[in-house]
Amino acid sequence: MQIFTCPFCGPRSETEFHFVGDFPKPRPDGMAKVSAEMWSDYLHNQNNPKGAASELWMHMACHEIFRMDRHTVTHEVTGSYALSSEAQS
Amino acid sequence: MADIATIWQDLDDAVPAQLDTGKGVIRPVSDTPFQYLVSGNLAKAAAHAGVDAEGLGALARTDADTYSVRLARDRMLIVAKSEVFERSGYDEAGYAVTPVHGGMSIIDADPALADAIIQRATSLELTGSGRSAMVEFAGVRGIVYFHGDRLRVHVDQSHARYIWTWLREALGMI
Repeated sequence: MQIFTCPFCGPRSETEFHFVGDFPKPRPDGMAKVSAEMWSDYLHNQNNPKGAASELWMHMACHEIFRMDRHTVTHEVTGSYALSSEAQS
Repeated sequence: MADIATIWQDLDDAVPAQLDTGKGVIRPVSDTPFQYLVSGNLAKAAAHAGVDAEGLGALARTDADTYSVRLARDRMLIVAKSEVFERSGYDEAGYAVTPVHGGMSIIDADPALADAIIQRATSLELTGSGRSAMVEFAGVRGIVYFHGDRLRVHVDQSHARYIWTWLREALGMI
């Protein structure tokens, strides 16, 4: 079992977490200028790097969405960071 | 607001008066009938209810009859022996209250069983960890803390039948 760290709850089993997407992943700006290909790429494609990755994850127990930095080959987790300004202050 | 206590099936055939494992006893808790889910400004809600604004984290302990349990950064459960909120819904102080009196089933275990249950049902360190008491318990979401020296677990009422079956099997009762 791998242990991930929720910024609010602390260390928990990986089974309590769900992958959300890449971080950062800016939403295409301006609906009129966004092609179907750009929108499809935003919705469905991930970076899927081999190595260091920054990702958004959700802790399914408390529903906190946070940034987690990890290595996709070694599975080493190098950091978990809250996204809300309230949590970071 | 609808009384959700009325929508659940009768669990008399699934929830025993007590489960005696030989090493200790597990019981359903029925003497704390008031449970409220609170979100938003927890400090204001806690002040209104007369409970701690931080709330119990995982495996934290309380001896109080009325207390708060932290579920998330902006949500908590308030457990009480008497009514502490006169009305449900949004309050102008910045919080929202949802009564869930019959919506969650409460399980209470003897101290001798606590470590074994925690180890089988969760991935928590036995020394306690984290600000939230909401954890994955036997595969479903549960709220886990100590009341006095007794392990107490809240699960959604719809999971009660499953949890009691799991407890019987996990503790070798079947």
